[in-house]
Amino acid sequence: MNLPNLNLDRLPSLEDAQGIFGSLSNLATAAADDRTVVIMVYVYESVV
Amino acid sequence: MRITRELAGLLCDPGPIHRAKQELERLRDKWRQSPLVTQLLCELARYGEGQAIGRCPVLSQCMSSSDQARSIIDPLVAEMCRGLRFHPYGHVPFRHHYSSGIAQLQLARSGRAALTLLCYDASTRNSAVPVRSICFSDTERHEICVAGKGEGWLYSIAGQNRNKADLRAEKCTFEPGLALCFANGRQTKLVDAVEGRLLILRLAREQGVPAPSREFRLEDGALLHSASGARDESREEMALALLGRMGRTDAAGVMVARALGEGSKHLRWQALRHALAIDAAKGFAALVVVSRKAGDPLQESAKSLANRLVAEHPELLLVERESCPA
Repeated sequence: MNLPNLNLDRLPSLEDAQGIFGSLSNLATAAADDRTVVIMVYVYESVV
Repeated sequence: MRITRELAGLLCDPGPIHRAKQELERLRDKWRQSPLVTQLLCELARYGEGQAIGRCPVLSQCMSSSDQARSIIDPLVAEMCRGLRFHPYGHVPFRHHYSSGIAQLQLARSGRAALTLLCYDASTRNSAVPVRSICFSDTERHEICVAGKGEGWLYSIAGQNRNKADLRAEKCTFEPGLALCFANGRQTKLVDAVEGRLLILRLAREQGVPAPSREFRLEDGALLHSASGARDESREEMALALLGRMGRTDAAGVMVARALGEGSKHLRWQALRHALAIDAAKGFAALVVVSRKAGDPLQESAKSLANRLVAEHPELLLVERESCPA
């Protein structure tokens, strides 16, 4: 079967697509709310 | 990096570093084995498996009384400081992190729960840069202010439609004895100014199936960003992306299995995309299956994409026919 190579960039994301854990908007400042504490644990979990 | 004579000496002779490590770990273990901390760690284990905090008396008292919290914290700090006095290049044997004026020391972790000491300093917030957004995470949190003072806000979501939230803000002074509880992803706090230092003990527990984290613009409550609340889901998504970038065609089966399996529709859709890109035959066959599955939250998106791909690449019809000979 001679099938095309599909370009990932042309395959759409869902309309309500969400970012990966810990990602933030461009408006986010250096966090003094609680998001930083949640992220820290994620980083360590990834390393172990 | 500035290399002092002492540090240069340690490069040649690692003995002092090993001795420092052993001593600080001994002091940590001594703290852990004290009667009160032993009880605390047992309760943390139960809490981490889902038990209510009301059934964990030592943990509950620590999170409601700064004096009780200090009965746990003060001995640890005293021991560590004593150890560091003799071993100034020793490494405090707890997971820790410092960024943007917030220092974090993870005292203990068990299951879904973690007990963390947070220290905010005066550089936590640059008052010249206004805060423009607030983030809500779906994590149960109990906090007790142990020492120092700060000012900030308690935020809550009073109501929400699809892309906008009705945000409520209440001014708050953080000082010793203040106990806070953020039971769900509709409440959070923001520390805006600190006098010197502010020390908070936090008990956090992840939800079994966490809802996405959401970031809203303070000005009008507009939803700016939504992110997965599940670390494992994001870890898997990054693994799929990496396998795709590496051109690992042998991973197509794994991607298809994830796409056709249970769980987060976001992760399943990413698996479908990567499967299509790495192996058009397997990926499209999976896309067809999803497009025909009544009740699947991805059914309509899969149908739309399948129709578009067939219009662009009619040869994919062969795959569709093989998926459903009838």
